Amino acid sequence: MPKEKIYLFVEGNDDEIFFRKLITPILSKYYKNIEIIKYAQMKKDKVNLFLLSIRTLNFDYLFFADKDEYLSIKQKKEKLSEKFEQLAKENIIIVVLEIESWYLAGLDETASETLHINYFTNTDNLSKEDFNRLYHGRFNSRIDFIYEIIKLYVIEKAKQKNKSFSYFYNEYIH
Amino acid sequence: MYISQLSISNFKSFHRANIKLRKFNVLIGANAAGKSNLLQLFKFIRDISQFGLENAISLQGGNEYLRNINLKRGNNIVGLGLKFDILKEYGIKRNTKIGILEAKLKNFYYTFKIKLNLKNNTYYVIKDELTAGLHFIEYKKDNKTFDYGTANLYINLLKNSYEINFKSKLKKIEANELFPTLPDMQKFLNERIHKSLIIESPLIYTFPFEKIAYFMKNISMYDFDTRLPKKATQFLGKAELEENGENLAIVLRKILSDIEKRRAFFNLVNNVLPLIENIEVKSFLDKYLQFLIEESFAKGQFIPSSMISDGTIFIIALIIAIYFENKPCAIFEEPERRIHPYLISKIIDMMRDASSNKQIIISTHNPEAVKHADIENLLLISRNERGFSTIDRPAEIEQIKVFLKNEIGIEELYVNNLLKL
Ligand SMILES: Nc1ncnc2c1ncn2[C@@H]1O[C@H](COP(=O)(O)OP(=O)(O)OP(=O)(O)O)[C@@H](O)[C@H]1O
Ligand SMILES: [Mg+2]
Repeated sequence: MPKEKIYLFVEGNDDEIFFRKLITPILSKYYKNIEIIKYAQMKKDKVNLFLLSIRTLNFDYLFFADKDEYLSIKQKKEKLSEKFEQLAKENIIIVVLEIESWYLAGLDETASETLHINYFTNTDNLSKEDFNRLYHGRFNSRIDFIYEIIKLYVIEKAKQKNKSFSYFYNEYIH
Repeated sequence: MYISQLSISNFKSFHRANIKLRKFNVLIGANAAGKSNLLQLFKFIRDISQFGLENAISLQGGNEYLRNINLKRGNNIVGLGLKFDILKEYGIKRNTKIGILEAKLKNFYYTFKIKLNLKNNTYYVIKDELTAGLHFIEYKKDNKTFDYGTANLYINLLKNSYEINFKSKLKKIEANELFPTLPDMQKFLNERIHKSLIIESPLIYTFPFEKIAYFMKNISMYDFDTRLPKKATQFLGKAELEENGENLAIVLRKILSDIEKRRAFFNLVNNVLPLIENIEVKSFLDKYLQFLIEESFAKGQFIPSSMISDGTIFIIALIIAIYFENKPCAIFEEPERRIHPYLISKIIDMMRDASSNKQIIISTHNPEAVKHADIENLLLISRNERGFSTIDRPAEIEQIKVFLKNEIGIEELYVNNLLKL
């Protein structure tokens, strides 16, 4: 029996696209409803109130956050749970480095060729800036590029190429 | 290329204002602050290069309303200064007496001043100056290059004639050899001296000024009337999107018939209108075009444009205007009016995305738009103690940074009318 609902807290629009297009279809085996909340532009108190309400309603939630370069994963988790007192540490998943690294992780060699971009065997250290340098030339729009990546995305590949994605997948989805 | 700096004197509600622009600009401010007046300024520039100065003034309501009516009648000089920055370096190579010479464009400045005669509704151009910053490189036969540094090419209105001035280290050659159309342009301008502006000259469409001429002529100020695309359009019509969107079906047909554009178009539409599965343009009676939409809930069923929601039509037109129209500058008045608050951040994202290829300027009253626009892109228009419109960049106001640091959002300062401080 799938559960009623899960909330995914993600930072912004680029993350929302990633989870809506690539993760929601997988999670829909386990949940009837998957809601995505973009929290980057939200006040701290608002985020806490959302979390409190969701916990009160007994729904599941996951909280995704980028790893800032100067922090370790552990430090980043500490920082987040300090900031959001309603947030349980075991529900935090750190995206390393940022969502752009997760996007690029799902491309195999053929896909990279199709998109006319470099192939990366590992994306743990790829940043937004690296990502932005890739699409110019072939694409006029970053958003267009993102949607093309989604069309070619291979989850299995992403697990091999990004440690944090593989951790998320194995721990929370199997 | 984009307008990176603007100085205004005595235009509508503005007295004197000087502002830096970015590739994406979001104008905010109270009602009657002067946002639309500032946007009208861009239309005024466009109208000058399309229809000439005289018509452009008429289109703004004539001499009386072009200037600031709050100033004394003796204060009747309207002026404008523009700086253009170049994004992708470009230039020409010419074979000259000394060898191959390349001239690369760095930037442009354009300034003009018009003295209005309010009694007989005439005007007199008193300043008209166009400058191109150029970088010269010589390619020698032995593959070596010589860098001559940068030099400015001016066309400048003097008392009774236009002067062309070109001071550079390139003593050996004359400007005329590099810019052969300049003498004819000078002649054209001298014949219409004080009545027309440099940017009205047809020869402005030649190197090194063609980009600035093209830019001004193609500034687009969109104001979609969503009722119009609902009707069928005549088959034969302009292939570029009309500012009111009436020929949307024609433009859609062109995009959908190009594989690469079609691909990108559906990606972008899908980002904001996930229900749209497909769009088709159909002709009927050999004369009319209409577009139809297939939604993912009703595959195989096509809904004609007359029954499509206003917001859907608006968003489709907007996506085309920002991504698919080959225009250097797109302007929208309050584009968020028809858009659900959740989608506003996405539309703002798309505008920021598209602004890597064209300058985008919008006005808005919407807190969501303010919140997502990035503070650097905001321009606050307000009236000063004398009633003149002024322009500020909230990002540069120190006190605002303190509020932001303490988690008071820019949109909260905005809603509470505290942005100016
Ligand atoms: N020629 C002029 N001289 C002086 N003031 C003028 C002139 N033309 C218009 N105005 C002033 O500018 C005001 C209109 O400004 P504008 O239309 O730019 O406001 P806005 O910021 O777009 O406001 P809204 O948000 O309501 O659309 C008028 O109310 C008038 O007071
Ligand atoms: Mg207005």
